[in-house]
This record gives sequence, structure tokens and C-alpha cells, in this order.
Amino acid sequence: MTKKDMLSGLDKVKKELANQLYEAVTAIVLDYDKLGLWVLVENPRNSLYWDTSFARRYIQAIETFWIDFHNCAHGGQRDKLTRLWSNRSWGKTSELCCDKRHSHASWKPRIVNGRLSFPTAEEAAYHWLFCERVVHLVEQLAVENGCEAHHNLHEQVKAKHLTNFQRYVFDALPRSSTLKPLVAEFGRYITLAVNPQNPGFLESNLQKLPKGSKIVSRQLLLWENFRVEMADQLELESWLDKEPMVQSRIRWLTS
Amino acid sequence: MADKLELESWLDKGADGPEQDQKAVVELCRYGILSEPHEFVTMQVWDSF
Repeated sequence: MTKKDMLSGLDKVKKELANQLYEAVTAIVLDYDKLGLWVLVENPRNSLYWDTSFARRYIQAIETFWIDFHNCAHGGQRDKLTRLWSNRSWGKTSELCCDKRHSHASWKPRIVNGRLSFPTAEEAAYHWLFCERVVHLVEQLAVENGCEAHHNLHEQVKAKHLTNFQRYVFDALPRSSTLKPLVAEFGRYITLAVNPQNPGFLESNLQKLPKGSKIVSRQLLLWENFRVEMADQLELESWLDKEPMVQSRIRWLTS
Repeated sequence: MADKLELESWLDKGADGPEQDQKAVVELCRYGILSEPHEFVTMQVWDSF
């Protein structure tokens, strides 16, 4: 934003605060990139922020990877288009566009407990599913870059990861989940290859499994790298559902 | 060009067995129908007693 903006009063204060925030973000991005850290900046896809001099400084200085996605593709209720700027190609598979096979919540403001509630505020919060996917992505990258993920006590002892281990030595039970169980407390792992925009399939499968079963890993992968041997079950039906658009596309391709 | 009958059969009946699954995925990728990523999910399952 230019200095000669002719603003005054509250508008001027807001602009100055926004400029300070943008300047801080630019400084953080440039410094963290120099340190070799992975940096992500998030804003709506159509935000004017991306065209400001503040954003352009780091966009032009650093190799840029854009990740655009609809919130509804990551568990949100609406098709808000969000953009992530990244200084690494990691997370590119999070780029999911709404497949238009589900309905969206309304954008109309509504009255909740006597107060006007704006859906835009709800969509500003990250959905739980999106957070889960990001956490699993970070874990996967950490393991790929040399970190160790231990699944039982044997692996922890072998790797000399012995925080709180003295409690076992003194015959006391560990008070936290830092120490893994002596033996695995579950029966087996099963792996599924599913449509990320069809969370109902996963939920219904999880409900059929014995109580206590849980998802321990999520990875968004390109189909090009898919091999049937990787998964115990493949869910293709929701990709090839009876929607006329998909059917007609296949028939056009094969005609 | 993919086998029209084969693709339409996948549409109507679904793939049958791992080999058919793999063929279906390869063909559908080739035609851009599976252009978006899939999610590979691992679940820890307790044995029922």
C-alpha cells in the first residue's frame, strides 16, 4: 500500500496495523527460508494480499510453490478457495479441488443465540480433517528426513530414546504416553486407498471395526504412484459413481 | 485407445480383483479421471475378543 493513501482516523490505523503485520510476515518468511526451514503462508486464493509489495518481495526472492484447495475437500462445510504459499514442494498433494459431489453449507449470515453469525468466520478456522492431514504430512517428512517414529518399547530402547524409562527400572508405571507399550496392544494394521473427498466411506469402515480401532496414518498420494499391493482395500466406486458427467467423459474418451 | 467395453464394465460392475483394480487405476489415470490425489489411510485394528 502506498503512503499517500489519503486515509484518516480508524481506517488509517487499520492500514498501518495491516502494513506492520505484512512486514513482519515478510521478514519471518525471508529469515526462515535462509535457515532452511519450511514456510507456509495462508490466505484466501482471491486475496489482494498476494499482490501487495510485501508478499511480492518473498514470492520473487524465493522459489515458490502454490497449493490451492477448497476447504470442503479437507472436511470443511463450504467451498472456500484457500491458497498456501510454500518454499518447498512438500504438501503439493494437499491441492484438492471440490469434486462437486457433495452439498455445501450456506454462506448466508444467520442468528445464533441472538447474535449475528457470519459463515466467513467459521471458514477462517482450519477444519479438523485438514489439521490431521497436515500433522501426518509433517510426521512423514520428519521420518523421511531421518527422525525416528517408535511404535513399541523395544524400538525405543534400541534407539536409546529413554525419557522416563527410570520409572520402569523402579517398577513403576509410566505416567505419560512418552513410553510406548511393551508389546503392541492392537491386532493388526489395515490400509485403505480412498477418495479424500468421501470421508463417509472411512467413517463407516471404522465403525465396523472393533472398538478402539483408529486411524494412525493419512497420506495424500498421486494415483500415478499407486500399486494395488500397497492397500488392503481400494475404494474406487466414489470416483466412478453413477454421476452422468464422469460416465459421459469415459464414454467420450473411449468412443 | 482403451478398451471401451472394459472401462464401461468397470463403471457398471466395479473392478474384480487386484489385477483388475490396478489396470483400472492405470487406465483412469491415463485419461485424467483420477487426476486428483487419493488418500492412503492406515488403521490400527484391535482384535475382537
